[in-house]
Amino acid sequence: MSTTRNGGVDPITMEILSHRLHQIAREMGITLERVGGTVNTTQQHDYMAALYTADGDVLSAGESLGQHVACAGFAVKKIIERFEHGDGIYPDDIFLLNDPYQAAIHQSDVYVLSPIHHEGRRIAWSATFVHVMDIGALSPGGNSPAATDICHEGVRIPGIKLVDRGKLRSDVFDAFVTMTRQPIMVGLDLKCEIAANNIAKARVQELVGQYGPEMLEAVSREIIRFTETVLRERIREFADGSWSETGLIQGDETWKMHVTLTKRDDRLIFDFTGSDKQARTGINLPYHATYGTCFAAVLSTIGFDIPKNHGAFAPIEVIAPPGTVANVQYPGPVSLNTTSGGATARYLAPAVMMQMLATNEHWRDEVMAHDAGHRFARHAGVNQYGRYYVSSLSEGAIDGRGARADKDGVDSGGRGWSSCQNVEWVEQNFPILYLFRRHLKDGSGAGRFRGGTGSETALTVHDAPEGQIRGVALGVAGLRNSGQGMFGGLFGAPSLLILKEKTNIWDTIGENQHPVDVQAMGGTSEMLPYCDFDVKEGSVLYMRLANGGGYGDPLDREPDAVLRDVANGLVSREVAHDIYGVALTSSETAVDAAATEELRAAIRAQR
Amino acid sequence: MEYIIGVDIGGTFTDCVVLDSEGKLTIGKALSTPHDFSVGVVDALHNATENLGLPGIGDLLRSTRLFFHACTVADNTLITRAGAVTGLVVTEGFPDTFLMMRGNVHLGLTESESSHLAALEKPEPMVPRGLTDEVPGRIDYKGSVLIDTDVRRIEEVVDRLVGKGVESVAVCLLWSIANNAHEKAVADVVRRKHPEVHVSCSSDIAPFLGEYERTATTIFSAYIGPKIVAYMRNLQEKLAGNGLRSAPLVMQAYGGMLSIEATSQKAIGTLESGPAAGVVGSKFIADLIGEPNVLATDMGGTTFKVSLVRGGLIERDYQPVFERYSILAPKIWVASIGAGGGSIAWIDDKSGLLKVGPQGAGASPGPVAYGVGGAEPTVCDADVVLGYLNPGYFLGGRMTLDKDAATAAIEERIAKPLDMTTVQAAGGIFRIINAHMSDLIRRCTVERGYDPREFAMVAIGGSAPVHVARCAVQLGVRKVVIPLTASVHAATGLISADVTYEYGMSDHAVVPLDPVRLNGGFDKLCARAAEDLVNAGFQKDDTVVLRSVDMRYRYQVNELNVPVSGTGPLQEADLEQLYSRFDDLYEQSYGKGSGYPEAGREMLSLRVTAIGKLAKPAVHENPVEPGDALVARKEQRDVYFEEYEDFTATDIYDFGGLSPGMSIAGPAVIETPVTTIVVNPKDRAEMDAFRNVVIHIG
Repeated sequence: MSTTRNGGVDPITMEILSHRLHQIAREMGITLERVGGTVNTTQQHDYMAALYTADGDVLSAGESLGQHVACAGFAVKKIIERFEHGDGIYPDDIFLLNDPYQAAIHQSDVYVLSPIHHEGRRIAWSATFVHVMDIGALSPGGNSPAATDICHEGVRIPGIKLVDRGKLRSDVFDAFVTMTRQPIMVGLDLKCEIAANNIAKARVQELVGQYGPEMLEAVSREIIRFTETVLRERIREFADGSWSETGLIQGDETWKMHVTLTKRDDRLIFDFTGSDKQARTGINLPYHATYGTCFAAVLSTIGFDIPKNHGAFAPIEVIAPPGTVANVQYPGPVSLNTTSGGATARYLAPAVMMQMLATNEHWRDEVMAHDAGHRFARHAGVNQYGRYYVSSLSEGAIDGRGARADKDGVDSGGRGWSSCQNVEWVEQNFPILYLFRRHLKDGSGAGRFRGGTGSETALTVHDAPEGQIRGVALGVAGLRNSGQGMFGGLFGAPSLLILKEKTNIWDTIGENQHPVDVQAMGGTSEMLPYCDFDVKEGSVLYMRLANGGGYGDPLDREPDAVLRDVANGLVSREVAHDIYGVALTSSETAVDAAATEELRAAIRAQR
Repeated sequence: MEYIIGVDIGGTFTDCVVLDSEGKLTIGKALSTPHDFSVGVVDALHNATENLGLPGIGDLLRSTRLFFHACTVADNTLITRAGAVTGLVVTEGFPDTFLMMRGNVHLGLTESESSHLAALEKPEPMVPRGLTDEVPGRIDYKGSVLIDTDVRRIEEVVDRLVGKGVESVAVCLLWSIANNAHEKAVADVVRRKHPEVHVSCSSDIAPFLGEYERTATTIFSAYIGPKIVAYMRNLQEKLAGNGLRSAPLVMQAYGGMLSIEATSQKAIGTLESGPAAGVVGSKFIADLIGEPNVLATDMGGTTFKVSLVRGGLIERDYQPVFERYSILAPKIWVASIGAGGGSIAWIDDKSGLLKVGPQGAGASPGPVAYGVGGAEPTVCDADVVLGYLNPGYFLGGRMTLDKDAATAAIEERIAKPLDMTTVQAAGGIFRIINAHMSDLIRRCTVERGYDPREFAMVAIGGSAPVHVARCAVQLGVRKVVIPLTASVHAATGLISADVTYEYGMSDHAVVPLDPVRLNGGFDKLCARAAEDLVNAGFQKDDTVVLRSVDMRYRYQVNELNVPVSGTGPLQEADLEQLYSRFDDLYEQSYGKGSGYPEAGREMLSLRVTAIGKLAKPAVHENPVEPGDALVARKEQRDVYFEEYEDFTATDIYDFGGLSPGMSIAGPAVIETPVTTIVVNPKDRAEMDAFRNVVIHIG
């Protein structure tokens, strides 16, 4: 049998062990989901679980999200740097880290990292992070709109031993959870991370017991080499070139983020030069987060079918000038970044990748109009059972995705692995009453293939012992946050958070009517920027999720598809007529073909 | 003579097993008849009648005390989207809950499917948006009515839906689990104004928290209900016409039997009832041989499936995924991967690695060795090349395998590109598929806190007895059982099942629970159980009522079903016991130290399982006498074993020649008319009193 291939590992053992390693990382993730305390972990898939080589290179990341995997690639190395020649790294140690200047995206992402030893020698690492529900920052839940420097944003730990040679340091554990508003829940999160790392250790040790550490090393090297090789080959398929895109982050101020993607030979260089100086609000990204976003954009477009590991780092370079929104320096705040700077970067990086993809016949079917993130809110207060709580609305999971080269965007969903809470689950646990949750008519970006339809939701307080709850408005505010269209496709409706106060909803309810029309609710309306707010008796929080951009000219859309959208309540008769140029019969049950042709010709003539 | 009959409709064959009052089993088989499945049922009964030596089917059916049935009608209806035109009635303001699917588009997809964003789609919904309508009325989490409903508007909505051709109506309103008055009002309108229209209320079908899952469950039931009702009526008439006096009982997805009437009201219970019967069959074998913990494995042409029996109980899934929708109807827990005899071996051109599956060649074109057009080498082809399968005696000689073609395909497509010998390549395919299957079993056991060494494995499906002993040794499983009745396994499961009713209600309460309220809830469910059992003709002595609660730590989403001991009213001490049982179960499932009682615990639902025991004769036990298995040896052939890294002259035995008590040391191969059993070098096979083959590992 040939042994030169695959660096000395026979292809069969290689296949069997790659599969095992992937299963181990996946099992770590499942453990987080099962044991975790916060909905971020259990329902939103907002976590990372990975195996590493002895040197801290990412080896296998299971089903973790791409941007997290890249950041996690920095984390283990930072721990090795800090402890190797200091307090030492021993078998059965477990470390904790949540410093955004080291590897975390923001303090809420708490890493737990564990070396894996075999007969006293370090052979691998495992690491996880979960987004904890509170981190002792200015605002409950971690995202603090009022913070102006990192010290306002909660506990920050560059690396500490949580478990010392197998013994949990309850002093550290208790100190950490006590600095948060939700010690029980954060405690649960740390427990789930410890459990996941313990599982990784047991499984890797079992594997090494069977195959030996040399085999693990050889297979690890090959898995990483494989990803690098494939990625470089794929990058080489594109002609050299350069593509740019600009995004705006709107809060009470507006910040610009700019990226230029340059493809040269087998390398991709993302350059954020031209982005604004870092903000005094926590919208800023640490370098590794910016890197992670680009990493994820590359893997989700041209590498969705290859293992996510350290091999993907080599061909990707990210330039982000220090002191900008894309590479924050001390003491710049970061707590809002995942839903602001991060959301913008998550739009920009794929957008330039899509431009590159569109230049290559072979990759054109993979082009998608991208969406620019969404708005949502955390909420906190005393619930109907008299207990203080902090939680998060999960409607982000029912946004609309971008249209594709050959099909519409997915309606209400398809964002990673997250899922939206049931109305009943929210109402059972929190003093909230939903007034409606439905698809947004005319929200999707029109196009030959239309964007996915997002949703709209309204809720109020109900049975709140304090008569109100507190909210934090998150996400890219303003009206420039919608999914952009491509090749003549239009943008989707932007994502909004609106607080209405002193409404008439309880009068309406008293009259046995459903307050399902926002316009008829009366009272005042305020479009919420990034901010803290209160939802009081009679107030309504209206939330509209992102809608996908369209692909291609709406006048080229199959009239029957427009008819179906009208029948399904996703597109109004007016938009069908004005934007798609489709005339329906008066019963709205069929397309009037002749009138449609005429109408489309007229619209074209006016352009 | 009196008979008990089980008939299972599978994709290709309809299987029938008859147990007579002396414990003797007789088999009948016929082709399945998708245009009208009841035809295949009667055909299989004719075949069994013949095999029994009875003059006519009437002689069999007239003497039949119990008739058990499992069918694929519901599954086919759903997969081909051939159900009733279904309308959905929801709470005003929430029309898109079902279509939104809570945004969880990835559920039910493989990893590679869900990572390809440009190709993602939601499944085709059973109810289009145009057949969904909203009715007024809002109930809150306490069950209080905030907004009254309006019968006049309900009538408008129902008339409009029926006017659009709706044949079946699903009703799912917010918080109907706390107060179902509004759902009832809708159902009343449908029944009063349109008695011909089928109606399903979520508070009856799935009385549990979570409007999306409850809606999906109700829609599934409404969508397949009319088909199931029509099929059952037709079947019952045919059987009665042929002399059957007893009412047929129908297998449910959770492994128990229900009457046709109960089945018709909750049609969703018949989804995957055939596979459920198969697992019940594995449990039946396990009970026969006294194994409390069993890995019920099934490896056919395309899929490898694993279910679990623990402590004599089949593990259940209370929130399974069907057709990518999350459903609140209990079914037998099953995990599966694309690994079967037809799984294709291929080389990933990017990595140069040998891959096996998940794609399969199916029955057509099938493995290369079948000679019906398959060109891509499969697991079955590797099994032929390695000498496990006998080209001249596949499926008892009903099919010939083309070994040369299999060899050539593996050589050309795998061995040459990888610079290996053909045997190394075939051995690699064999090892990889076994490793994938072992990984799945690991997910089913180790990952869930169970020690595989405490399990025996029951192997069903044509390909399993060639492969699973290799998984067993990987995982430390001691014993693999290949049942005598493997070819009609689900039908065998049917005749071993009992009548089982499932009840549940959502009741959210934080620990410490109030025993009065808890007892009140259980009393309500148990009263319904007692009534149903009495109506079904059971005496109290023949019934078992099991209570359990769904619990979780506060703030967590994952629930555990925790058994409640005893049958009487619960006292404080019983509750304390319940809490610690939950903690124990939790640690067992999710690892030591994972429990966090400090967070507090809460209860979400009460459940009651009511079992009516059906008296059945014991299966005939043969005398076990040590004998020389050599009488059954039919030949020697070269077979590859990885221990030797080579072929070795191996004894081949004819299953028919073996008798209970005989023992065969590996390496050996036992050929049966339906499958091939490989006994690896360190293992030993033995025939037990029921003529099952038991492989003792290592």
